[in-house]
Amino acid sequence: MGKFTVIPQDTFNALQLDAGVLLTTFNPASPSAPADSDIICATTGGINVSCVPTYSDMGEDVDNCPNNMKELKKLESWECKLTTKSLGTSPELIKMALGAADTSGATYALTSDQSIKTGKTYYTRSGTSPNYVYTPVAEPVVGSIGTYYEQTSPDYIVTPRRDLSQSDFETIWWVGDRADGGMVAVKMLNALSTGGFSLQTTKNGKGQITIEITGHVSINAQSVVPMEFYSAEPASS
Amino acid sequence: MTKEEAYHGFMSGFDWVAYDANTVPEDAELPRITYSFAFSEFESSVAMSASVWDRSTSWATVTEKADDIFDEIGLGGKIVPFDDGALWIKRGTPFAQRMSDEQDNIRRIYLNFEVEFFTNK
Repeated sequence: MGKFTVIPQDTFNALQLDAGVLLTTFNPASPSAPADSDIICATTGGINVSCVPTYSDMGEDVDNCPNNMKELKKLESWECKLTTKSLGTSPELIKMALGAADTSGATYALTSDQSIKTGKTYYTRSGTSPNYVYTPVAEPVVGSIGTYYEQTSPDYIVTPRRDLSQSDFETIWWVGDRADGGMVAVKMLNALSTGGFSLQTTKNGKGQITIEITGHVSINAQSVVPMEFYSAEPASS
Repeated sequence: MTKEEAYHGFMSGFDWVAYDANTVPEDAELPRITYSFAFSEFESSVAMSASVWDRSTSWATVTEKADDIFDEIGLGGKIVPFDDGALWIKRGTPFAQRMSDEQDNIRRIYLNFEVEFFTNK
């Protein structure tokens, strides 16, 4: 075998295996198996993550200046995208795919609980019929439980909105396995679906929603590129 | 540990004695697991098989053993390390298939795997 027909010894350790998973939250400092509630959706065909820079050549129109002179190269921007096909059609997933949209249709009733149940979301009601507004209670107290409502059926209506809201942006994680048991992760900041909603059905098959998500820069952190990358071997036991 | 030893170790990890299908002793007892082994270079996937055998008129024990192997491999496959790399053992398609035997009191399930060899040796 030729002496240059070689691969690095750590090639196999850092191989990324399988499609990975999309999560709403993840802690790369303490990577553990995700909670079911943190998984955004099942996907098919894998997940594509890209972070592509756009450069301009300031010497392009300068006489006698060679193209691609590094001192005159300027980084204009980064385009951070994540694309996949989702097999889920929950209201939350459809809302995410639409980007600017709201869910509604949930029904509520006064709770019959006599004490606060851990992990349960209680709501207060405001407004007037038929346009009541139910707001989740951040820290429910038993003294007010008589005024709390609980959701008896979830939202099932998803309505695209004409205007974009800052709350439409969210953080999304892609996390995948490495061959050595470690993890590879990508964090997308200020993620918003920019590809819209596109559902493809097929006879005897499963419907797929194509999702294209773009990361955005915030006016409050203009030098922060909206994508971070993590790759770590497994923690030593 | 060599890759052959690593694969044999994996097959032996289900409480039944495992044999290379080409070298099963005449006095080998049931229940047992037999497996084939083949090797290829990095970045190619090798189709391999194994069989779980038991002396019984019921499919219960061999089905349970096949399920154990199915679960152990898991959705993303199982990485089995050895000295110069690792095996990536994945479920084949179909994973398990019942086989007939001349003796009515022998039950056998045939298992399919896809194995990638993460090694350049």
